[in-house]
Amino acid sequence: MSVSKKVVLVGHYGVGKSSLIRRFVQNIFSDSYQVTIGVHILKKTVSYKGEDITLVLWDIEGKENINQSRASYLLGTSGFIFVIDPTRDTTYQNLKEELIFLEKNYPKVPVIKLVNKSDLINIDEFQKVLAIQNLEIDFFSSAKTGENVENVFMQLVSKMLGA
Amino acid sequence: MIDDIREKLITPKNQVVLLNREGQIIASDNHLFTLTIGSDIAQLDPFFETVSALIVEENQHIPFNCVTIPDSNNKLQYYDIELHTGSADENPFLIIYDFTEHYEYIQGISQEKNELALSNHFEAAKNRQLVAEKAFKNKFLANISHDLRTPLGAILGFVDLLERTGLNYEQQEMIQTIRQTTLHAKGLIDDLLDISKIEAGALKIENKTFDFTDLMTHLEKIYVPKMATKHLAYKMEIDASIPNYLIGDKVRILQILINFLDNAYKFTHHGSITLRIKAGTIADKKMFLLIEVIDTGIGFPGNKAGTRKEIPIDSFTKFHTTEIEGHGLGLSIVKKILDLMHGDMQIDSEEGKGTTISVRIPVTIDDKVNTKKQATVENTYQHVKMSRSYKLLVADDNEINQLLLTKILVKHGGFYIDAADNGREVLEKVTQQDYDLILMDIEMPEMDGIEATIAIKKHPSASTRNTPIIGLSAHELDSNAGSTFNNAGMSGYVPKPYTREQLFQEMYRVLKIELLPQ
Repeated sequence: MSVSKKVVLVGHYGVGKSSLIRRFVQNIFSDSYQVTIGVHILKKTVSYKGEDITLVLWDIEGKENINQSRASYLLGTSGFIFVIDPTRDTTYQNLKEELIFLEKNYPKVPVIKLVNKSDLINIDEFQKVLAIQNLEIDFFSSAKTGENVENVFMQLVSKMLGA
Repeated sequence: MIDDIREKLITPKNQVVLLNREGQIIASDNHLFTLTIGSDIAQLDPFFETVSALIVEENQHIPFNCVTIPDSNNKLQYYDIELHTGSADENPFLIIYDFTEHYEYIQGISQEKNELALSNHFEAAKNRQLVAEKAFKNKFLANISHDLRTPLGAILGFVDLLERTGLNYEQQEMIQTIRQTTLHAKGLIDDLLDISKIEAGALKIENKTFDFTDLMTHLEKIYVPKMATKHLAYKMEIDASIPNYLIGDKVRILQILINFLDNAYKFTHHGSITLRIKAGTIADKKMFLLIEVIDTGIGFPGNKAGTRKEIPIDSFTKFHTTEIEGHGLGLSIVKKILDLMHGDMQIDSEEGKGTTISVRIPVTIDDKVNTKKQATVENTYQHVKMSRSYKLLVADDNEINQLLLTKILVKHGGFYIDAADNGREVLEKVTQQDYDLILMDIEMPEMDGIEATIAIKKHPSASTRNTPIIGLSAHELDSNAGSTFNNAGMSGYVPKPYTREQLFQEMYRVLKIELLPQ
């Protein structure tokens, strides 16, 4: 029997949380924007160091603050992926406060900070924007091209298993 | 009846599922999902995998709103799900409510709301970029105009000097051509500057008292000889009731009139051009100048003889730009200046018969000055009383400008001249000796004119501190240039390119050199 881990993708609406999950689980991408309301859950089993890990991926509706999300959605989470959209500064203006909220309410739950839509920007230039704001990011990915998507989830698995 | 309604419409909308602590189904009414007794609830949807992990803890009531679960056709259905974990001697159970219709409605609203917010965001970002590009363009125009004005000023200055060196007739003709061509280039740069100022919102309409008669005399001096070159009759019909002193923007009014008269000149090959100005109704000292420029020129194509009618300004400008010699900025600028003045214009034309441009410009009557006017005696000043020689320091990084200024001053006589290439050199020189006046260029390397002026005004030596400074600048975009220089401690300001007269007028004022009547 495989180990099951609940992973929640958080971030503003329109940053591409659903697209990242669809790219990861079904390897598909659509340019049309479909708003997620409530929560939609998909799962995928990955192999990590010879062990099967089932990732139960909670795609929750985007909110401008995590504390606006329904508490029950975040219950029992093993790992978070915080997604931002580099083309909209409002999606990362409060990143530090959001991370503090997660740290305080879900201590020891790993968080991956992810810039999605990397295909739309010059990554070097955006790194400068982040540096000015003193923000640290773990990954640049693109649900559209598939760039780094697999790596993001595998990195989270590694963190959740404490490796 | 009630039971029938409940059975048909309400009961099927929810389902109760009894579980054991391992997450296996013990009982289910199967109103929504057909579940098999003994199977694992997690098999229904990945959502229930998390539920299985939560039911180990007793006495919990956890609501999950708006959980999306696809149906057998993969169409998303929306449910509210309550998890009751029960006490030690109770089984956990789930109540599942089907709120698909309600949440589909909410989804539609959210979709619309988010799409609008995203679209607004990107629209705003695009606008910010456009504004930034526009600001860059205006700054570029301001800088390039400075760079263009400096050599033009030098050309005009040297032409002026050259004219006074005893040239023969042919040389005089050529010098006149150089002057006209340079002035034309200057006119184009001025238009570019006006456009950049208007777009940057930096063009301010002045409201100062001006002499209306002077304005008309000025136009007469320009256009009587000009119209004669094409054998056109030039008439000025000026309403005698227009008060002599008015408050308004003289420079812009002149610009508007010159633009219209130049247009008429270009369009008209025979006949006449009339400038007619009437006074509008006066109310609370405010009135409109009702101006008409009437020509017997080619008119606007399309408006056949006998069908004289109003032409949209944009069409006229386009026609003017494409068909008639000119850069086409003039009329657009005039229209914008008129808008800023709260005036308006109208163009009526008939092909082959001519065009009438009518303009209304609001002005205010300056009663106070008009009363004084009667007592003022006008003099033409020609001679200056130089009781002594003056020691001047000319500061300009541009060698040609420095040379030009020096030559103008030498030709005038009565000045000892020293030169500096930048603000730092100025500071060194004023420390070594005293000057009666510093002519200070503003844009200089190492230390600019403003910085040098501020440093001089803080100099420990009182005689250095008190040295009067006149600023010279070609930067036009800042309409407050004069007050900026004044704030830095300058005694005067001459915008480039300047004429000898403008330069000396300011120098005489600052040096308190007496002017003697002719």
